[in-house]
Order: sequence, then C-alpha cells, then structure tokens
Amino acid sequence: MGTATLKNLQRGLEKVSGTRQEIEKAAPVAAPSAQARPDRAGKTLIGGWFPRSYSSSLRLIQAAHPERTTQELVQEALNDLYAKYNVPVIER
Amino acid sequence: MKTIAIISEKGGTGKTTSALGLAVTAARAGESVAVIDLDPQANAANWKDRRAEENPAVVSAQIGRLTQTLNSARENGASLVILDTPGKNGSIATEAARRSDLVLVMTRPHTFDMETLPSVRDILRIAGDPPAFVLYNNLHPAGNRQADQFKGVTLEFCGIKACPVHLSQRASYGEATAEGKAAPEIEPDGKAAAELKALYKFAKEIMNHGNSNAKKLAARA
Repeated sequence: MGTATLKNLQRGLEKVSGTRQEIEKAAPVAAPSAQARPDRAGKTLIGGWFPRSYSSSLRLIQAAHPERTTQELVQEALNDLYAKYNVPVIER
Repeated sequence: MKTIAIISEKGGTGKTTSALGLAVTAARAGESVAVIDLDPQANAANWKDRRAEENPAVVSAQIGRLTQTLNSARENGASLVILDTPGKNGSIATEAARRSDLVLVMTRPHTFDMETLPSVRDILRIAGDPPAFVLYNNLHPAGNRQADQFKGVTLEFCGIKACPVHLSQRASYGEATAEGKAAPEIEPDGKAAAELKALYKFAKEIMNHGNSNAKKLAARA
C-alpha cells in the first residue's frame, strides 16, 4: 500500500469523524455523582448568577448570624418566595 | 476489511498501548491499518501527532460517527481497523464490539481488573457475542507459569476464553509511545515485538478461519 493511499485513508477518516476540536468539545464531562457525595443523594442544585452585591448582602446576614450557612439562608429565602406565591413551603 | 475492538471495563489496562503496538505490527506485515480512537482522552490520536510515519492512519472519533468512520476506512483501502475504546464506558464498548470481527478484552492479572470481567461478558452478549478473548497484559516477563494459571481459569471465571498470547511488562512499550512509535519500531527483534507478532498472528487466524485453527495456534503458543 503506497504512501499516497495512506494519506487518503488519513484524510478520509478525518473528513467523516470531525476535527479534533469538535470532538474534544463534544466529549462528555462526568458530573459529580450522588455516589461520590452521599450528602447530595436525592437533592438537586438550584443556582443563578447575580451581581456581587447579592453575595455581599448575604455575607452581612451571616456576619450577624455566623451559625447560618449559605445553604440554610437560600433555603429560607426560597421558602419565603414560595409563601409569597402561595405554593407549598418545604418543611426542613 | 477486518475490525478488532480493544475493550475493558477498567482504565489503565493498556488498551491504547496494545492497540498501537498491534496496529504497527500489522502495518509492518503489509496491512493498511486505521486506528479509530473512540476515547475522548484521544491518547492514540495524540500519539499520531508525534509520529512521522503514515501507517497506521489514526483518527479520533465519536461513537455516533463510527458507522461513517468505518465506511470511510473501507472506501479508502484500510485492510485492518483497530477500535481503541475508553475504559469503563459500557455503551461505547458494546457498540465497538458489535462492529468487530474480534474483540480483545484487556486485563492485567490483578483482582481489581479481573473482577470487571463478568460485566464484560454481559457487554459481549448485548453486542451479539462476537469472537472475544481475554488478553492478559503487564505480566511479569518471566511469569509464564503465572500466565498459564490465569489463562487456565479464565473461561470458568468470566465466561470468556483466554487469548493464548499474553503481553508482558516491558520498558519498550512505554518508551516507544513517548516518541510516537511502537515497541517493534524501536526494538524490531525485541521480546515486545515478538509477543505483538504472535498476537497479530493469532488475531488474523481467528478473523480468517474462526476458532478451529486458533486452537492449534493456542496449543503452539
């Protein structure tokens, strides 16, 4: 088998399989599993991106109540929201 | 065109190094070889980037493009395709096995590797039971007796036959890949080259004539 034909083989393969960049982009990234973090089993992540001032105000509350975690405060905030919109409030 | 899938349900068993070693051995025997790297880590494709030689052709592909990639290999004159798969990804291993004339199940002679073999048996069943053999890798170079013991219990242990040829722990495997070569290219008369040649011969025999001749080969190995 000549070199020219092998070059065609390499080119032919690359043509159908996509470029390396495309493949790396599409490669699945393993999500942290509930198995790796048993404390997260049966739970879901609710998140959002906010201006820094949201985070500062949260820290001001924590400064006055150092025993309250971010998780607990967000939970309280969500329950206040649920009460406002008249949907089930979640028992802790 | 014949196709060999190299699979295992464990990382670090030597799939890529063996796939490339086998590909280079086949190329040196006159075959036009294509390696399809189905592992997102793309180690085989990276190896090709370090390499000057044209044979084997190597391409990194997603499993969803396997049909098209195999068709292209056939149309462009490949006589042998080797599918390198990621460890611990049953769906890719199943699909690769389904498309292959021969499946080599890589394992090291360690408990952690070997306890994954029964689940590979299930993968092979789902893939329609293509001819498959457990290929022991990383055995002690002087461990022929150990190799025989493992091979002797393999079928009973996991329901898959043992490949009569095994691969040993040899420095040339690692040294060669670092420079985009395979062991037979840096030590053509070395022991790694010899065991890869025996593996290639066995694989050809199975793919061309099925199990009956392989038994004779197994007796000789």
